[in-house]
Amino acid sequence: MNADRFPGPARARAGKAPARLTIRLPRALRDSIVAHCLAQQPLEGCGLLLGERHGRAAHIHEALPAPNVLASPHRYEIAPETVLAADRAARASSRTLLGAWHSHPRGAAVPSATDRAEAWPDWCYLIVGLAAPQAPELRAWRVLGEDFVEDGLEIT
Amino acid sequence: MSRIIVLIPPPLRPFAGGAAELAVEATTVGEALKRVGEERAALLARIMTPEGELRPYVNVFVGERNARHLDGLRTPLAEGDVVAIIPAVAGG
Repeated sequence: MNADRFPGPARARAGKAPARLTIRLPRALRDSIVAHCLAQQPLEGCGLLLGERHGRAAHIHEALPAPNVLASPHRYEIAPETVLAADRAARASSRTLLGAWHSHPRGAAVPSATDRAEAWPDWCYLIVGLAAPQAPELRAWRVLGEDFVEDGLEIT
Repeated sequence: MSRIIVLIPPPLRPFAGGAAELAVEATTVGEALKRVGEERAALLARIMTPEGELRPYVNVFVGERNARHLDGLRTPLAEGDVVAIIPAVAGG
């Protein structure tokens, strides 16, 4: 975990039982995320999540694909201009930029060391594992305290 | 002094009392960020280093333009400017 980015408050929560969320993702968005990631193979695909968060549930309303400016099979990065545009779109529609999604082209849908180093606390990260491309795996993660916890993912 | 709106991104809102935006009086980007952080030390710590530099995982836009491509924290602001704090989105 990048201690530089998580001084104080995030660490103060460590030790408490993690408060897991339920991420509600419409099936059509799930399918579009997976399709985008498969189309980017062997590079990592990525994008941003817009929606609403109420209590212990987050409702995803949009899954915007974004160019991976690193064009890498091992890393992804979304241009800040793209994040700015998504944040503006979210604000204009009374929604929130809830998080991001990306693929692991040859790996499982679990956070990598790089994901741990670069994640923002309490933000939703959906990971698409394509170790078996014919059976893509999608899981939801969020940093609480010093590490990721897995959230519930409900395909609606 | 100019009145500036600073947009707070969702990952940093817990450190801004949940606010999505804050209004401050400032004449430069650096001043606006310091004003935002005056009573929010945890927020400021995530935006700027103790030496007063912008953290590498954070970008700041003045309107459509990235302050890193202008004059950084010294970028001048005018009345009504909107300053957006944008988190880097990356991983592996």
